[in-house]
Amino acid sequence: MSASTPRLRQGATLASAGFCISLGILAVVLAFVLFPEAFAPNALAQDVAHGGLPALSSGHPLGTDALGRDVLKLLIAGSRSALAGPLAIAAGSMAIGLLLGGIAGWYGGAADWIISRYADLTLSMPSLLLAIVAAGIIGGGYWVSVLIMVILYSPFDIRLVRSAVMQQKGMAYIESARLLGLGARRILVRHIFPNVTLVIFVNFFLNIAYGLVSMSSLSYLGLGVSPGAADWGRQISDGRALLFDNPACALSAGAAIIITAVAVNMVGRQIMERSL
Amino acid sequence: MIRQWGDVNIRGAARYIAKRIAEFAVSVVALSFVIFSLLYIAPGDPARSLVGTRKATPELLARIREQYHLDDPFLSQYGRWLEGAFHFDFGESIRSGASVSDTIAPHAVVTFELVLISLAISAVVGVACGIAAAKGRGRLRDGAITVAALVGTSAPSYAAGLVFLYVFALKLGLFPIYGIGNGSAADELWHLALPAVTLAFGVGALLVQITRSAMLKEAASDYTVFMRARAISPLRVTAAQMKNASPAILTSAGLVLAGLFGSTVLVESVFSIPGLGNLLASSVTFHDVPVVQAIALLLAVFICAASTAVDICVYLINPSWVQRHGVRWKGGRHERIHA
Amino acid sequence: MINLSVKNLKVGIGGADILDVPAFCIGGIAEHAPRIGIVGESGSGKTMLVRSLMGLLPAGVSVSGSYAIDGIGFSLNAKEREWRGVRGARLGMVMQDPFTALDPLKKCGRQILDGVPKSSRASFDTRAALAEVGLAADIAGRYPRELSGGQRQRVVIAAALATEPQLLIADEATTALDVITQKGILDLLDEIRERRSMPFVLITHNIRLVYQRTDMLIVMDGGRIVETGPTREVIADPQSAYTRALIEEDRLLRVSAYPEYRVGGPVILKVQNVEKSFGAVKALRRVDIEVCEGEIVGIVGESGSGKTTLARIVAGLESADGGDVKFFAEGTPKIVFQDPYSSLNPAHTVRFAIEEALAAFGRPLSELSEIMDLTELDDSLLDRRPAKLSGGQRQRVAIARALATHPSLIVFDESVSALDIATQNRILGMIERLRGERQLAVLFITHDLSVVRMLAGRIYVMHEGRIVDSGSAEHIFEDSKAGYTRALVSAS
Repeated sequence: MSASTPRLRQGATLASAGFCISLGILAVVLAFVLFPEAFAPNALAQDVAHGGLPALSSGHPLGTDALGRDVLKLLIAGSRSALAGPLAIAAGSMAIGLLLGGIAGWYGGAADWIISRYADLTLSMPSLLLAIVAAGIIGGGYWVSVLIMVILYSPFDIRLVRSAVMQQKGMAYIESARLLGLGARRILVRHIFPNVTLVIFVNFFLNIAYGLVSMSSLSYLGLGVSPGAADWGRQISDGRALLFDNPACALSAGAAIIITAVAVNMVGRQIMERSL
Repeated sequence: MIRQWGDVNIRGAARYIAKRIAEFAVSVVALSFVIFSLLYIAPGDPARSLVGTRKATPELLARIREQYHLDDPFLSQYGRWLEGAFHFDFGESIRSGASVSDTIAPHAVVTFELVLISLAISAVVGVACGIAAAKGRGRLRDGAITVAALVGTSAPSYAAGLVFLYVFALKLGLFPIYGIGNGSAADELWHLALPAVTLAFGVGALLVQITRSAMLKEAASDYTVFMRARAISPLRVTAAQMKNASPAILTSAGLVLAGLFGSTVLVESVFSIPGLGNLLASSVTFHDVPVVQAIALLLAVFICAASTAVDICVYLINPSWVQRHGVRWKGGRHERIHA
Repeated sequence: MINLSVKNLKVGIGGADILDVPAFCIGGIAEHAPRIGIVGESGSGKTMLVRSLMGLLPAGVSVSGSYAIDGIGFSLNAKEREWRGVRGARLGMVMQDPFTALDPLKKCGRQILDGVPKSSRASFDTRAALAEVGLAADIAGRYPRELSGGQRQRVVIAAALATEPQLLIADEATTALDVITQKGILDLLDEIRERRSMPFVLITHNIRLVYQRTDMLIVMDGGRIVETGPTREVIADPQSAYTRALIEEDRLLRVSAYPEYRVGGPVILKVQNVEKSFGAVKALRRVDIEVCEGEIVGIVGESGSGKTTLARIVAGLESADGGDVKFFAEGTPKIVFQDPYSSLNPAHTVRFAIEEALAAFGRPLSELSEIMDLTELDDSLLDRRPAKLSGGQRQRVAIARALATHPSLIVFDESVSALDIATQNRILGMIERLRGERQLAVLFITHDLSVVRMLAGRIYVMHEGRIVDSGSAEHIFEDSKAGYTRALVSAS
């Protein structure tokens, strides 16, 4: 008895409107990531004489930062470092998840035990805290932080793939594929993975959203990106001192992060719900 | 003979608690190992890292080498550090020269206050909103709460904090902007209010999502329909639903505490609260390695201890639920938190 | 006696009517409390009908019509608070699944007491309430999880009776139970009706059940009432085509000859002394069976009797702890599973599924259309994925996949249990035909006696991991001396 009252259908319409808006937002952000120069040429050009101009100044719709750089251009240019890392994190974590989760789920036994304990252990580690400490002590740049995040995010994918594979393994159609005498690789690739791609894809999206937050948190603390680079987290911490002169500097970066993260999350969740 | 204490089989409970504490110990040892070894993974001479921002004269390097036993094998250095950690002895701060534990202590108090206040806020508001949303499923209030929760779980705490700071403190002047005030308890509470709300926003949102979906699941259950079919009072029906939903909600408390301790680093920085997070951030910038290691270990231990304690509580309340859902159930498939 | 009447009842989901009943009434029609049956397949609207009379429609369903209880009008869209006057004190309900109908965290006694009206709570005797449903007093202190399905359903009945209803509605209340337990619950309902002079409504998909247990019959199909009347008359002389079909499809109502008991073909499967345990649970104890070429053998047993474990061992999906499984024909036995929703990979088309099986056994792909014909599948289904197939079509594809390997023996493990009766009969007919055309041996495993009654020449009865009886179908049904077999047959 699937329920869809007028009330609930209204909710569904709202959700799909949100889904479309989120997709639109992501398309715009992606365009900024791919072609920053087209939308914001010379974003890093400084003009210290005109630092801290408030929003709606002539030629600077969002004003300028302390170094006199145009905030709108900075915002567009900053999208790249905001999203490149999270994409890499999500992709890397998915690759590890597919490999280790697939092995653990399909073969079980000792391999499963070792991989599961590894996942449990990494899962119990506070990832942002460790990333802060690691970035701080090792002093590595952006990609070192990305690597740490990949390692700390992967247990979620490992568990996801493992349980999806285990669930598939018990399905009658997998048992009958085994009775046909098909090999493990054919069953994994042709019969199991097509049925688990969806959950993995959804998790990929959610990983991007979480990665966005983690990476920008690091750059907010001044870790991972070099001073002066265009980056949303960086822009917030720099703009904080400018909160009286040009609040748009920090607030626009904050809004950009929140909106992008919400949009990615929304798309991921909607895909998940539609597919259930 | 199986001994019972209420619904709990004592031997089973003892086994579960022992297992969970063993896991806790393994996690803490692994974490401490990772935290300690980071110093050595860092490129270059660890002695130079420990110099911090002082001038690296050969005498100073030699002294540091001796002070930190840097010429000993790695494992024995780790053992010495861990043993010191047991007595809250983390050596001296490079920045100030003062003992690390003395440096940390006042900051730790502030952070604990902040975390406790936001725990209370997020627990009460999060669970209440989750129930309200589930009860009004499909109505406007459900939509509003769900959207707010989505924003709360997606938005990084420092960005939300900045918006709150700007709107409520700067524009509306409802709250103080920076610091923890003049020392009186009331003033401190006043200063901690907005940061605590900021912290609670993110984790409370997670609680809303978990509570809502758990309550919706119970509302659709057969026993709910059967209770309604017997004209049992709605209050009693809701009470039964809440009891059945409680393990799912309670288990997430571990996640919530982890989220609070994780995000506090960022929120303290936004509101310039002199807590552990702020000290961690500034110590990282100053390469004050002993302080960084101590704070990281302290926070990590608290996060692990919190989730262990919560798991054990959930087991004691409802052992069969834990057996059904496994040792560590982290909300739904996709619920997790920035920490 | 309570009197319910409803006119122009319409129930809709998302604008489409799923129930349309111009007039319907219950009560005041017999001297003594009547037993009313509502029969129809799943989706016929029978549950929606009674739920709308109790205000228990699921969220998102709209309802309209004029409703009167004992002649006094009542709004079908009343508030929850107003419905509480109707539920419990007027109408009681017993739900289908005893495993989920009770609050898992509350002791049974407490749950029964919860529904007792305030006025009589002081004098309520839980012990007596449990005794009325045939349960011992100590059940009050137990949690539902500590009870068997039958015991739980008795607790549910006691809880429903505690509200002192004037009419009890049992919605598929025995469907989830084994046949012998079913019989106990139905006998109990009869007893309670006598003792309390309380009419009951029995909602079921099983026409045999209403034939045996009710006085008045309402037949529903596609959200409409197609026929009503005294049960005997309706069954003896059905007026609507649908009722006729329902009776026609029921295998035990239709008296037919027993399937032929064939002997003589070479033995192709010999299971000897097979034992299997899962942890402390002994699933199989010294089981012996034989299957000959071109023969259909039935294995009947309740859930937990070990029949599925035996099927999986024969198919090679589990290994036995002890004993021998010998297969004398070429290849290996194939198996068709119970659940049509998991027997095919949702990612692949029908064509892929069958061609993969052909390829795996080195058969030419040109056999595809022959196999589609054999399993009565239309070629237009070839490029569909399982989501676009009905349950019956899926099971036929699963059978086609098994046939593609030219097996000598196919094991059917409850393969038709999840299908409606008409589809079941069609597939059973197909299996019988395949046996004839391909000299196929079939091991048919089921809990449903009527299935083996129609199909199997030879039957084994399993109980608690043992073969407790065996013989020709006629022997099992007519003159078996085994106590368990007789209980099973008389409960069906």
